[in-house]
Amino acid sequence: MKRILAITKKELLVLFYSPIGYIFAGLYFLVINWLFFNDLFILGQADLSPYWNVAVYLLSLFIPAISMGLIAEEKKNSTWEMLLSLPINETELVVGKYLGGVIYLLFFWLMSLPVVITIFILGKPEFGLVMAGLIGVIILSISYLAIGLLISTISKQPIVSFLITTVFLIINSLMGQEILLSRMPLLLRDICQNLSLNYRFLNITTGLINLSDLVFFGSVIFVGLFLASILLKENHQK
Amino acid sequence: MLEVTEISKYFGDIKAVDNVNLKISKGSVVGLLGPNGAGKTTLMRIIVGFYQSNTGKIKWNGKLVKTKSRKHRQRIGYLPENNPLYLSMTVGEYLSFVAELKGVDDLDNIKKVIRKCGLADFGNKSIETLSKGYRQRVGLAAALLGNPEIIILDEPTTGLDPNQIIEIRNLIKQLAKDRVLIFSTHILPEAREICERIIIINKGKIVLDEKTKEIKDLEKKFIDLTS
Repeated sequence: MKRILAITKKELLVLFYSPIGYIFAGLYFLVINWLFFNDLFILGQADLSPYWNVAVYLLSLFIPAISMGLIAEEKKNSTWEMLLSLPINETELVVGKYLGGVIYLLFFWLMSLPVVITIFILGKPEFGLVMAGLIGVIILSISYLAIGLLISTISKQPIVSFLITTVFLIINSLMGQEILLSRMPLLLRDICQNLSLNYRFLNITTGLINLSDLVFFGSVIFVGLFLASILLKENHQK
Repeated sequence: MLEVTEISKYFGDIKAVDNVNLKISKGSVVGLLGPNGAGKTTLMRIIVGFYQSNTGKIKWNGKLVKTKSRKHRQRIGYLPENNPLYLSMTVGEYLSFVAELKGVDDLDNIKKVIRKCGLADFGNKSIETLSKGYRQRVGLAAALLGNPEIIILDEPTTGLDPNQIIEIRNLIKQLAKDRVLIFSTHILPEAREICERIIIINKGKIVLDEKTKEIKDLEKKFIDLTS
C-alpha cells in the first residue's frame, strides 16, 4: 500500500505541475459554463440536467488529456524502465497512477461547486437530483479515466493515446443518444444502450441510481485497470 | 557473488542475448563493452528484472533468484541509459519518491547518499534546472538508495563534460568497494582506467572476458572482436 501511495503522490505532483491539465480544465469550465448559463436565463429554470448533458461530451476531451500521459508519458520519457527496476509491480503502478488521477479529478469537480451554489441561489432545484448528477458525473469521470489509462498502456505516444481515447469515448457517448438509438433495430439498440456509459450516466442524473448501473461502472473500472496491468506486464517483454 | 548462467533473450526472431555466462564477485568494477545493439542494455535489463530472459538462470550468493521479485530488486541499484528522471520534481521530492518505492525508511541512509553524490545543497532545486552532470548525480543517488549490493550503470558518463566524467568515475570507484558493480560504456580508455575486468559483448555473445591488466591493446582487440 505504501508503494501505491508513493506512486499516487508522484502522479499528483506531475498532474498539478503539468500545464495541460490546467489548459483543458480552464477550457472545459469556460465552455460548459457559457453554454449552461446562456440557456439558463433563456429557460428561466433552476435545473442542472443540461449541465450534465454537455459535461459528457466535454469530458470526452478533458479526461483523455489527463489519462494520455499516465503510462504513455512514462514510456516516452523512458522513466518506466527506472520505475519497473524498482521493487514495485505493474499492478501497484497502475493502481497508484489511477488513484492519482481520481484525486486530481475530485479537485477538478470541486471547481463546479460555484455553479451548483449559483443554482441554489437563483432557484429551488431538487437537492437529491443535484447530488445524483454530481455523483453521476464523478462516477462517469473515473470510469473514463480507467479507459484512458488502459489505452495509455497500449501507446508509446501520449498524443496517440489522447486521440484513441477521445474517439472511443465520443463513439461510446453517441451510442447512448436517443436520436441514434431510435433508428436502430431493437437488438442493436439494447446492446448499444447497455454498453453506453453516457446512457447509464443520464439514468443516474434523473435520480435513478440502479445497482446494475453501479456494477457496470465498477466493472469498467476493474476491467480497465486489470487489463492495463496485464498489458504492461506483457508489453515491455517484447 | 552474482552468477548469470546460460541467459538468452529473444525479441521475435532476433536473439539479443545469446547464452551468456558470467560470475561477478563483490569489490571490483566490471566494464561491459560492445558496439551499439550488441546486447549490453538487454543483459543489464535482464539482471535488474525489467526483462524476463527466455532461458537461463541468475543466482545471488549461490541461491537462485526470481529477477522480478521485490527482494531481488531491493538489492539492485540501477541507472538506466540516458538517466530518465521526472524533470518537474525537485531533487528532494524525487529521491524521497524512489526511497519510498524501495522501502527505505532510514533517513541517515538517504542523507548519506545525498552527501556522497554531492547533492546536499540541491534538495529544493527542480531537476529541470540542473546541469547534465548534476542530473547524473541524482540518477546515481537514486540507484544508491537502500544500500544495494549490486549496482548496474548503463553508460553513466555519456554526454558529460571532462570534469563531470572525472567526478562520476571517482564515485564509481568508491562505490565498487563492497558491491558488485557493472557498468557499460563506449569509451575504451574509460573502461581501461576504472575497470578491473572487461567483458566485451558482440551480437549478444560474450567475446572477451578478461582482467583489464591482462589485455594488452584494448582498442585493437575491441575492433578485432566486434567488426
